[in-house]
Amino acid sequence: MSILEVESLTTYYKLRKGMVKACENISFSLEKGEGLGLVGESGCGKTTAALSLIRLLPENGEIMGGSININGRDIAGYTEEEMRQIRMKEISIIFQGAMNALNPVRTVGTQIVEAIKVHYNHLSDKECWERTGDLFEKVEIDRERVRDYPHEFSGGMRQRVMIAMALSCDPFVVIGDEPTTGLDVMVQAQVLQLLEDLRKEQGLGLLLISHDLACVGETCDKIVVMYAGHIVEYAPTDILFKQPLHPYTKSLMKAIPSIGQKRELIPPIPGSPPDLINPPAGCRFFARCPEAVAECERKKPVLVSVTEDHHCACLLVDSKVSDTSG
Amino acid sequence: MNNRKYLLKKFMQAMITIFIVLIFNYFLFRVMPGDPIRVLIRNPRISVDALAEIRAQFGLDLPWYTQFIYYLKDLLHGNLGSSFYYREPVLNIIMERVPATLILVGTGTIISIFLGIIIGVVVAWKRGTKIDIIGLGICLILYSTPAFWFGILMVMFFAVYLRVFPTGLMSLPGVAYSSLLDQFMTSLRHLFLPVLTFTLIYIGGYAIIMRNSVIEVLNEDYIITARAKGISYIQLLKRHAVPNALLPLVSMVAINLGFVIAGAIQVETVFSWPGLGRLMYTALLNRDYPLLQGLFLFLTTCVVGANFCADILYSYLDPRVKLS
Repeated sequence: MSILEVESLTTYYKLRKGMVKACENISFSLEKGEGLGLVGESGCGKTTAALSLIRLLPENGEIMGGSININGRDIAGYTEEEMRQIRMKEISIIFQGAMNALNPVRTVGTQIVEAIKVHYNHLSDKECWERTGDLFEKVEIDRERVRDYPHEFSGGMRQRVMIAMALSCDPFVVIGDEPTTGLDVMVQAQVLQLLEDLRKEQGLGLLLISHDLACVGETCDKIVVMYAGHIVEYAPTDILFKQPLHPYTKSLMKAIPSIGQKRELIPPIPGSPPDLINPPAGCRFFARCPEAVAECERKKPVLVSVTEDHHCACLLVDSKVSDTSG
Repeated sequence: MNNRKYLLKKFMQAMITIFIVLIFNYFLFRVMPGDPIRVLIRNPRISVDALAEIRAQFGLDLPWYTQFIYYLKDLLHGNLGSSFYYREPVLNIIMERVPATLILVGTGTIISIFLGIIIGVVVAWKRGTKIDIIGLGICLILYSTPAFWFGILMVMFFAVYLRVFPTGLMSLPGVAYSSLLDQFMTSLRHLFLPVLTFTLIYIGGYAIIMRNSVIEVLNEDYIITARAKGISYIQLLKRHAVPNALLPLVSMVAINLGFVIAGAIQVETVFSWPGLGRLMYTALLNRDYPLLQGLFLFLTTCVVGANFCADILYSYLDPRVKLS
């Protein structure tokens, strides 16, 4: 059984102008010890999906439908009180620590101990601090530094503290919401390596959210590509890189620079994502798609299986699939 | 070491501020219209010779810089000159009045800060609801009400209409008390209306600041981090939102002290409270320049001192401060 199974998750934000359809019909699953990457450009709904999973949406955000199964229990309808019991203990999230994700006036240790105390109230203060020290060693920080304040750490170190905090109550599923954004490339690689090691070592399910396809490709087993609130492609990493099917994924692939290449500017995808309050009737990528045909403007593509693990939501791919099968 | 350096820097800043105010204060009274001798003598038919003699006696015939040096020298000896009106050393008069103001301003400030924080947190917590709208409305009304007018309303209602509290003064003149308790209760009754007025005038401001501060903090990223830990909303407020929101209040209280004393002038005048505010008011009416000058200097020192204390306190509350 999957430790996390998301089934047609739909999340909207209420605005005075109308509903922002930030996330529609999102489905994926995550096995024990597996890494799943969720990629897409800013505003495509990947963070909304993540915040829906741990139910920390802003006040105007609401899950409109779908289910979120963690270890076989659907938490989509959980009350705040019930959610509190499983946050950190079963599902935890790593925010972008370079910013203000840690309280600046309390030591990092206190902030981690606080989390441990909520879920392991039988532990004494000393044991909690001991555990925090162990966590620091696990993320390769000197254990003495638990008494330091967030501003006394570098960006990469703060990110490690965030990881230590997310692991403090032995969760099954860890969500990394752009955990390496804002770090320089070397530190980024170190943090990703650390996450991968911890995932394999502890059998965590890791959901890595990023706008960087290359960095997700290096660490994850499966990748979900999102565009304007929809999943456009979902496949194991090697298959996705070898044979991207959706025109959007193909454009993203072109945006990955390679060292051998001649130095040139990467071709950008022209245009910008659609308005999600009044999304287009057909394919949401239609306006920017280099391969679009007239039908794409009217007909909404659905996510279909091309092969057993490879799913894609594109009319062109869909017709090819039905051609070969029919 | 770093800490001591910070302390020293802040102390020097405070001293420089006081010195600048002192210079300004000194010359302010020199450029004011009216001859201090005329105020002092009060005899329009005094002879020119006698006038010159008195002028020499007070050192007023000396050049301004010499006078200023004398002023500084006396100041260092704790001599603020003597009052025209009371014919007593200024420092003694001020010190006599300090306790009364301290009781009024101290009690009022502590109560208004305490209640202001509670009201601020509650309305911030319930933001957007009826509680918030009503609470904020009341706070805004209190905040913008003039102290003297509010004081008069209090006197009208409690002292004239209900007749439960005295209209003013700190105690009844010429009354012998049967016991210490009796004296204490009478003092409390006299204290009630001025403190109530004072508290209500300042509670709104503190509550509004606290509300904004809490709402701002609740939007910070670390609040979501804290929620992701599974802690309860009460714990979230207690451990993250309120302590962090209190930080701006610390400096605001110190900066506000000047205005608080200005408010004390009005409240003390309405309730005939024998404190510094009323002393300043009467000194102004009597054109008692040495006393006014002394009072200004005294209050400046208090405000700068309070800000210095706030800086020190802040460096303990916010670990980031020492670095900058």
